[in-house]
Amino acid sequence: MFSLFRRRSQHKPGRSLWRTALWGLPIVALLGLAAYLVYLDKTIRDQFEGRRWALPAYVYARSLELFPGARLSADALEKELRLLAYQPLNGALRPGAYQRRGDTVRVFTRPFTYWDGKEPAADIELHFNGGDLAVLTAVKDGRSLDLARLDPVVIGRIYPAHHEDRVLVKLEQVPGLLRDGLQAVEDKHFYRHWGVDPLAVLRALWANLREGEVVQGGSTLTQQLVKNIFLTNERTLARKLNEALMAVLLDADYTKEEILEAYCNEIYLGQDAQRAIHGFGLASEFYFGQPLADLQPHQIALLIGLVKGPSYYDPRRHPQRALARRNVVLAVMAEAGLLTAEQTARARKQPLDVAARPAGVSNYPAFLDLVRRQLSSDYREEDLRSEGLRIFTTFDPLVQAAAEQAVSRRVAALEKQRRYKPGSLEGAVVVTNASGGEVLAAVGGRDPRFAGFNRVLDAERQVGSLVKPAVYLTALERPAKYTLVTPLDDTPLEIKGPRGKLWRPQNYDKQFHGTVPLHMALAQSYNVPTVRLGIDVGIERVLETLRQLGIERKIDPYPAMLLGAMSLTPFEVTQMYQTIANGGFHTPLRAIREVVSVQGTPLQRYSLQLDQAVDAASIYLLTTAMQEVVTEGTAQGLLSRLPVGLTVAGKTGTTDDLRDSWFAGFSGDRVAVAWVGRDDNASAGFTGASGAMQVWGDLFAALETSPLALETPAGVAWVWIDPATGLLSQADCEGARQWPFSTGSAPTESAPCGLGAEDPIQRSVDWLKGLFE
Amino acid sequence: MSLMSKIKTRLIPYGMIVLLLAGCGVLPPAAVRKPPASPAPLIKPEPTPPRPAETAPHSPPAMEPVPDVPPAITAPLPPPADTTVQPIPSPVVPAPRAPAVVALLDSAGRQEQGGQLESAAATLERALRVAPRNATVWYRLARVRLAQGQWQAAANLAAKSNSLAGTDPDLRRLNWTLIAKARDRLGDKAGARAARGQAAAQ
Repeated sequence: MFSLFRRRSQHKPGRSLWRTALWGLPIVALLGLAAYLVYLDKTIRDQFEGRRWALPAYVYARSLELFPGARLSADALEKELRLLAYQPLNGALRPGAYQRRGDTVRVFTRPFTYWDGKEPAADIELHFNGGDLAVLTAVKDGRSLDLARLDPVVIGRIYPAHHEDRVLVKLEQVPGLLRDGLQAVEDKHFYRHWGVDPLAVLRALWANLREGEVVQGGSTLTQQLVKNIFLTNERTLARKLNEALMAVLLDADYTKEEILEAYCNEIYLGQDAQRAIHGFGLASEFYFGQPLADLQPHQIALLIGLVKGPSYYDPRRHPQRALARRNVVLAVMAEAGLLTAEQTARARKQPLDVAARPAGVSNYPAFLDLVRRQLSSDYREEDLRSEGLRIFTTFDPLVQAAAEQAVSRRVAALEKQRRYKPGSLEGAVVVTNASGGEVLAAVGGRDPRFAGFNRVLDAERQVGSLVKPAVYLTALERPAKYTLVTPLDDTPLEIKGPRGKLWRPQNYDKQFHGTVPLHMALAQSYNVPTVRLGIDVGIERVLETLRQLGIERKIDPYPAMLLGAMSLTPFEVTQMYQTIANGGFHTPLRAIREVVSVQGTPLQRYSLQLDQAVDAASIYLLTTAMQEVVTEGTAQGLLSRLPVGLTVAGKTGTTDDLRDSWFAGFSGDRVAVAWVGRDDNASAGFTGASGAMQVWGDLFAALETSPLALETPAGVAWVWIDPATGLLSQADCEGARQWPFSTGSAPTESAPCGLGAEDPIQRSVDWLKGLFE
Repeated sequence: MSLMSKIKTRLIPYGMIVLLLAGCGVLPPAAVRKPPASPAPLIKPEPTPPRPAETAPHSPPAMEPVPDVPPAITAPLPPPADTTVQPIPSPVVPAPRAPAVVALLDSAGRQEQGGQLESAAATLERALRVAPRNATVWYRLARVRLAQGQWQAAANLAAKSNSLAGTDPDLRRLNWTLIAKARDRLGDKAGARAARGQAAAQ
């Protein structure tokens, strides 16, 4: 355009102008080129320095604590080690490897940076005694250790919107063999050239001309980096020229080390559905399930080989090609003196060693969903997705495995038992630790990998009798009026409902039992005495108790709520039972412990918070009755499923037409809530005991957990009671049993045996009178 | 790396670039993407916990004497022998003197001494995961919260410690004293007096 214009206008102007143009053109062109170079240089530096890779947030499980006395079996440890991709090895160990002989396991842990600092790698030996870790020693000097921990399992990632993913590595974290091997294969003169390598280009040109097609590339690592960062994939002369210019400029502006480090994090090495695999750190995880530092020569060689064509040499799709390519790389490494002949021979014999393709975003979608929701109150979605946050959670993969198995297997078995259409029955489970409110596991459905409807958080279901502990607790908080042995009236009852409609609550067995002591009414889950009790203490007071236990949802104050006519999610129910299990201390359920920035700076800690919501004495009495639910009440069937000596407390829940089956309960250190039902809210046909309790039982039979062993709190005393009369008795009286009472609330009159001399008939008459006054 | 220091490379013979054009070989398909967006500001609120220099003094912490691990034993009545299964108070297991707990208490003590209070709290929470029913650990966490000025949290944690302390008079006294201090700071004079009364009664 420029020259045409000049040509057309050349008739008019004089000679001097023509000459100016003649000399001026090259000058203008040079100036233009210089300006372009300056522009390009600025672009490069802006991009390179301002470069912030969008890094996904990493979500970690808790790290497994190893200490003498820990409840942990060798099998459980090995399960954890496998999740962490530790390699079982014979002979010498390295970080990330272990060795097991029966009840003795030797582990060389990986170094890891926690919220509270770095923990170096440690070579340790563990001796197990059945379900306990008995001895923990350092291999180096045989010294016994107090405590060690394993690096935590990555349980999920929160990806940037465009599915970019990286495991950033620093140059010093890159194995020497990888750095040197990469140069030997891709760019022999990396440390000598200026960003482009004319000799390599000539060689490639010659080879290509000889073959009549493109067989060899002359691109330096710098050019490859430029191509990955700045340019598109179009193969035009202009692009090639630009790429070379930029490589030269990049080389001018940065050190070789900076360029190499960027290369190691940027190079494209594969594709996982929508997710592009960039950089050796991520590729190591993607192909081998191991951190880069753990890789062996044959694995390193495969990664280097992939640079040439990640799709063409994809070791999962084209294992033959990949193997051949890897061996070519090994040969180049040997030639360059990077491997001895012996090392090379050994590496060549190795299989590809590629791990199974990793599951989608997370194996634990229900728990990850909870993490995201808890984070969303403090972090913006885009920061979660791109700032490379490291999120340390409370998740326990071993508990989760037990919970998943309990749900999947039991729900399938229940379905089969009733000959339901496969897939029609669903279930959910939440597990927490009793004292800290930490969520250990969450199963959102019978297919725990399916990231669909998360029943833990989103299934709002009628809770039925699960609400009853709140009614009885409200009563027990008035020891002057109610004790565990207070007789309750279980005879027909009519109540005017909110719209003047008469309501006649029924017991599940459609019977009335006359007079029943309070503890038995809860243990047998009788509806009628519960409604009477609730109305007597006041529905508003019961709602207040629910709030104290941690239920934040607004509930209508209708009498039917006393029998659980309200919808809650399994997570909300867990919060309620957590407070009971924790001795009346309310602790908000937490899924996150700490958040650390990509540089390792602690950003935020979600600390243990608690407040005393209910007094310890009342909770203690309630818990005693909830233990009776299991030993003699509606959950008796649980006893035979649990290991001998594992005492637990809990409550069954069943709703109208058997739509929902619930069980909520706790041992000494674990709280869990199980739900079974149908998504369409049709009748599932199970009571709390025949459905959810079975799931709960399977779970607790598999868990490492300690029995419920409560301390009698101050202000509570155990007193011998005659069950027939509810009056004082003595240890040697027939049938006498002990019950805990808040100070001053125990009966003062004695039953005949307990008193000895008094007229037994008169005592019974007195008692009967007392009942109906 | 400054631009100036690399001026020499501006004299690169650009002519050789032409040679590159023939050398297009097999290259990995570059991911096609746009230059990265301008750096997003990190984290909305940034309540970074105080992290003073990581110089924990190695001198043993000189702190008020705390019973190592309280033998939290109350004496519930033994279960009746004749009845079948009964929900009775299980005998309270004394908190194990796990070396892990002792080690964590020591390291929390050092962090406390070094003024790294939030780190100490994290260490104590770790100890609670190892031994959740150890009343001493709960007390130590209460003490850290008190030092951080988190009065309500401190009082709550001391109450939790008391609920597990059984009949250990020393630990109960420490807890009630701490609760009294916390209530003072919360402006609850009557509550503080009551707590002091409890402390004296132990």
